[in-house]
Amino acid sequence: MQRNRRPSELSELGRFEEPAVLILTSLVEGPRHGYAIVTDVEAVAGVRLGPGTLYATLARLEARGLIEGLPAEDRRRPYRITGAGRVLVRGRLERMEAIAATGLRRLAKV
Amino acid sequence: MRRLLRLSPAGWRRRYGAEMEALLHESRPGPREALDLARGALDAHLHPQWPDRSGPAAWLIWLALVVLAGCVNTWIVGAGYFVHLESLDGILGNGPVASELDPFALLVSGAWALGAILGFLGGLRTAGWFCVLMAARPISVWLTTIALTAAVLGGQPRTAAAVISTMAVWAYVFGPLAGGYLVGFVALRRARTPLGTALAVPLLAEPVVVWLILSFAAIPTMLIAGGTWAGWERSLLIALGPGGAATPFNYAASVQIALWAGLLTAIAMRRRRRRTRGQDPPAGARVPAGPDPDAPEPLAARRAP
Repeated sequence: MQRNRRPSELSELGRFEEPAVLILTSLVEGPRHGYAIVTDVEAVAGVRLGPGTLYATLARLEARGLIEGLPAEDRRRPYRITGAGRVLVRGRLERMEAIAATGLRRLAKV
Repeated sequence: MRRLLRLSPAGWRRRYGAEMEALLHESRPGPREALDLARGALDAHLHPQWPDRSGPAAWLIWLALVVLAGCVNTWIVGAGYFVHLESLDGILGNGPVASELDPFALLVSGAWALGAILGFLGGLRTAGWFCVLMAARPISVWLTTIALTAAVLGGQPRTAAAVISTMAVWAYVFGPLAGGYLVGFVALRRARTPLGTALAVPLLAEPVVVWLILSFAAIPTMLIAGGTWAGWERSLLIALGPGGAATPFNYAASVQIALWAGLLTAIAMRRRRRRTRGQDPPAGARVPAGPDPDAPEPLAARRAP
């Protein structure tokens, strides 16, 4: 089976791909520090990101220029999504939306 | 919990340590978070997201891990050589079956399973799958043992023993060889560099040469033994030395496998460095003074008429 793969930096992240989508989605609303990201992701997706996973993903996103750190406030550094990050997460969410819509439409026919 | 942060590389701690401490202070970490933190520390060592000059390079750590795994494998198998299960030897003969059912051999499989876990955790899937292959090797022997039991219960112990012995020899002798070739093929495909090929080809050729020599050594013995399949099998065991095919091959295999794993690691790291060259940010955090007012919206721009 040949899949039509679209070039995406997120797919290079391996097991950190899903946390990356969740973190970027959280940051779309505005800059957040680590704990705020964890609580927001848990509220939105029901997934609790562990500290190791969170910072491993943040480091990867930062290294790829998809997010950037802001000056720390009392040891807590907020992160902000960049334009490139916004483009990537938008594309990913649109694809997910299309898949969900198709799936739900097919389920409705059954 | 904060002590677990010390497992991370120094550069990582300088960059993220304070934030992570603040996060741990705010949240209520449990055992799951502790495990996640340890996993993240291992990941930070193996996949630093920018050049960290404070510690050894990631490929060096990987190389040390695989060489250590190879050495441990050799030591365990060496110890297993001197402590055989006499009862199993009596039932199954002095062949590779007994050696594979040796508890030490099972420990070796456990070491490979650990290597597989480390490989997958570290993102080196090829090395991980290779470790899975090596860890699963005794399964073929366990299956033959089940067949033996069934045959013995059915009243055909001689036939069963012959079948098992032959199957075990084939599984033990040619299984690792096939595994070696599989890994070699994957390594060559992944490497795509003259250096990788130059390193991989001798390692690929080595088992062929060894087994050609052994086969030639086995032919005269086979003729003496009567030229039968059973004779060939026996001659192969004789050619491989006392204790059956298991012991000498295990020694050679551990070194060879350590070399393979090291080679795969080096190739993977080399490719990763090449792919990410020029994209690495400078050491330390890049903290902008303020928000970027010109954040582009390329998707919207693309949709504009």
